[in-house]
Amino acid sequence: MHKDILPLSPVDIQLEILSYLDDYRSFIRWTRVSKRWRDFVRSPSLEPLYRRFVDGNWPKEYKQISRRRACPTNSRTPRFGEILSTLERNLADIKEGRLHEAGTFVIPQVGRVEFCYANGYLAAFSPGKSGTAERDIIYVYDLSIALSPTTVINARRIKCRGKIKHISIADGYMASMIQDREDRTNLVDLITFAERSFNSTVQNLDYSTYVSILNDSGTDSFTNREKGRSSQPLQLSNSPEFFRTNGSHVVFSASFLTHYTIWEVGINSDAPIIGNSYSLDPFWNGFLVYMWTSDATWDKHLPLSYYLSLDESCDIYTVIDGYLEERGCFYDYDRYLCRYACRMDGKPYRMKMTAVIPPYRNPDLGGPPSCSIARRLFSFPSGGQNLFSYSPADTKDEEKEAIDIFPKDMIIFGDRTRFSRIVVDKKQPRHDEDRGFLYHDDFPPDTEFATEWEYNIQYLDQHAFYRFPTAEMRATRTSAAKLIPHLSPTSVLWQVQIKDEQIPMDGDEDLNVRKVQIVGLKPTFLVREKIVYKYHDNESSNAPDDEDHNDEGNDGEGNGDRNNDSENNNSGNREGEGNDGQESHSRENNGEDNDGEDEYSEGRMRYVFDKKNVPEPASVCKMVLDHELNRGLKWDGDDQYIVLRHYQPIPVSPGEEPPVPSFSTMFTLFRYGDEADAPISYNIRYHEASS
Amino acid sequence: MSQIILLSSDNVEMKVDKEVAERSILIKNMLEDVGETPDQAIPIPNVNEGVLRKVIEWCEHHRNDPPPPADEDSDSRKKSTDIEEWDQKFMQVDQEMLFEIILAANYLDIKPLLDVGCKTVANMIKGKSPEEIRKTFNIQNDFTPEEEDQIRRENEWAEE
Repeated sequence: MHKDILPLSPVDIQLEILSYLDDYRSFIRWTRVSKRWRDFVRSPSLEPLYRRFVDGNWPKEYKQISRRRACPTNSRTPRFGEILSTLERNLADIKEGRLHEAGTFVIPQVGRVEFCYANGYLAAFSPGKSGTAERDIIYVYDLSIALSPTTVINARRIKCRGKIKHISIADGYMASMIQDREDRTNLVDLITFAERSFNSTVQNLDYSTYVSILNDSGTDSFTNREKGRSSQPLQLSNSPEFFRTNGSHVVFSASFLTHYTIWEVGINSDAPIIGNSYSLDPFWNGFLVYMWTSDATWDKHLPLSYYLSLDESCDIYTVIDGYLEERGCFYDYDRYLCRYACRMDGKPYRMKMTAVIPPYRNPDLGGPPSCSIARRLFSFPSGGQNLFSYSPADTKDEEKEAIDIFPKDMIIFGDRTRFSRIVVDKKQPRHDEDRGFLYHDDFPPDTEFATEWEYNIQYLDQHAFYRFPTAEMRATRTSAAKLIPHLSPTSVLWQVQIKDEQIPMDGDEDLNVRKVQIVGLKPTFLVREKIVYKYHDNESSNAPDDEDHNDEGNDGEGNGDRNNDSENNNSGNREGEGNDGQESHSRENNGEDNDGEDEYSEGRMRYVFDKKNVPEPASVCKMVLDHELNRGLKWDGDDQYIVLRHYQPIPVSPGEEPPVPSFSTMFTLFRYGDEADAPISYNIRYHEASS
Repeated sequence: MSQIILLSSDNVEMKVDKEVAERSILIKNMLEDVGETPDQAIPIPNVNEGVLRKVIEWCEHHRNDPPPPADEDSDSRKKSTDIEEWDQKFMQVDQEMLFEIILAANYLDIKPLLDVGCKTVANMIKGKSPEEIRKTFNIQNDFTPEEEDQIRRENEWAEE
């Protein structure tokens, strides 16, 4: 006898049965079984189960939602079932590369603005000096996942007592550095609007003073607490400034990454906020001191770029990227990266002190570089991992052949003649004889955990590429790239592509426009195969398969000097997929192998696309913007939104003088999934707050 | 060995070893409250004879099992759906009986039996498509084709 057991069971038994299942998507599919099942799956009584799903699979979001629910001033928070559905749907849509423009809003601040976006919160402020922009207001927009689908966005207008220097958002918290008489730093809970603030006196120095102090006292001058300077950030003139938070700590560095200062700022704590300054690395300090003392114009001819991030466990990652002749670069187009990671207590992870990416240039390739210099370093701080994609200055031998067989214009990252690579910088497990493989988090805080091989730099997948689907796209420049939502061999690479054009106008001057498109690229997998041809004769013009051909596509020969275990170590890989291109690949003749040389060669390896795995063209969201205004295009995104900042002219009635500045700042939100019926024009509901 | 009498909802008395009956936390607590082995039958008003016999059969087989850990945290419990061979055979009953056993285990507070019942149902639905679930439980699809199409479109992202 049959019985519709599940929906007819008491709720506690339903929950018990469903607790053995972990695929939420199957629940969604079951809404199609019958009306009773539909109502059962959507029932509020399953909330405890859905809460557990969110907690287990989306811990960061769960933390935010719990805070939101605990705050009495917040309006209704959606049920966990709704939230889970949105999160899972987003993840599916991200994986499929589905994105659509969801709507735009203009912020009241006139003129250029800086912004920061993370985890559903967007903060914007005007750093400029021009026009009527209020430079002491931060606008914070709540776009979080817990928001009900609505055209109303709640926003806070935070008035600051001083000029805003920096903002940073993470985990529903915003840190800001305000310059008044001292530099005041605030950490604001964007859900409860609880706040903590503290002052820090930034020590401004010029190079010569800095160098003489270093020569007299060493790096301890700025880091030794006993000398009374432990909480003092150091600022050297012309240094880029970095200000980051992870929601519980704030870090600041303005000394060409020679030092950083980190403060622990617990919102719910009354403990005094103590900052500690640390020296990044004596080696880097020494290099800078050498440069400053030997070449006064060093910063004019050393195009360096700097990067700093702070992850959830307070590890600080820094990168100094550029041409450093003194550090072993042989050619002026080679690049050198210095990479460091330090713990909050200042103890460095002894990762490789330096890494040359790409590997040393192969002089046999010869020829002067045209546009193949690695110009950009994109970084993706994500989930405790830092990922860097890089356009290498040169290629490895085994890749050269692959280059030859591909269209020259398929390569991304603004450099259309070379391979792009995803470089993964991952914490490696340490092997303990008694306990097996352990990650650094497994060790007590006071344990000295340092090995030279703790970190490794690898390719995400040596044979995974992100191809532009059309020639038109390949002819554009990449503004920025980002892996969303996290590292996996099947991550979608989201990019903003730009192409400036002149559109002829009747009787007028040409119109300068900036064509912008957001593209979600799915990886294309390459496979490496061995091809063996019979001696060519008139009877047999087709090359038969070789029995000994390598069908793994990953036999180590093509790995150069790096191992390729990164996916295997990726415990955070939610999909757990990938390498599918390596499992089944085409050995079809792709039309590139019938030249005279190949016909007489034996056992050559070649790279081919597995035609079965070339993904369909991903989403493309297109916009046409004013070229003059939108040179400073900026975007950010995560698994909730992609946010694009651009400018629009302020409309002026005939006869009126245009305001100064004559443009306003617009944010366009892109959401994952299929296109809605029409873009939304959001209404913003502002609340006042002071900081 | 002392025995007690259980009285099913349809007024059938069954003699059971006290040790076996005490696999039910409900009965165990009742006996502890009474303080001595009762002469009279203990009524089990929510469980009929057929189901009670099955429950007793299970308790007999598992009489020497160690007691389950107290207040096991369901959040942290390992979510394995593996079932012992004997239990698998025991649960090869029609769905009505399976349902009743689960309800009885819940009522009598026999956690290990409840777990086996729930795992059995979980295994019946795990990884199944809506069509397969309809077939397994003989469920009538009461959606109109239009309604089903709409749900399918809305949930396209969750389809395999």
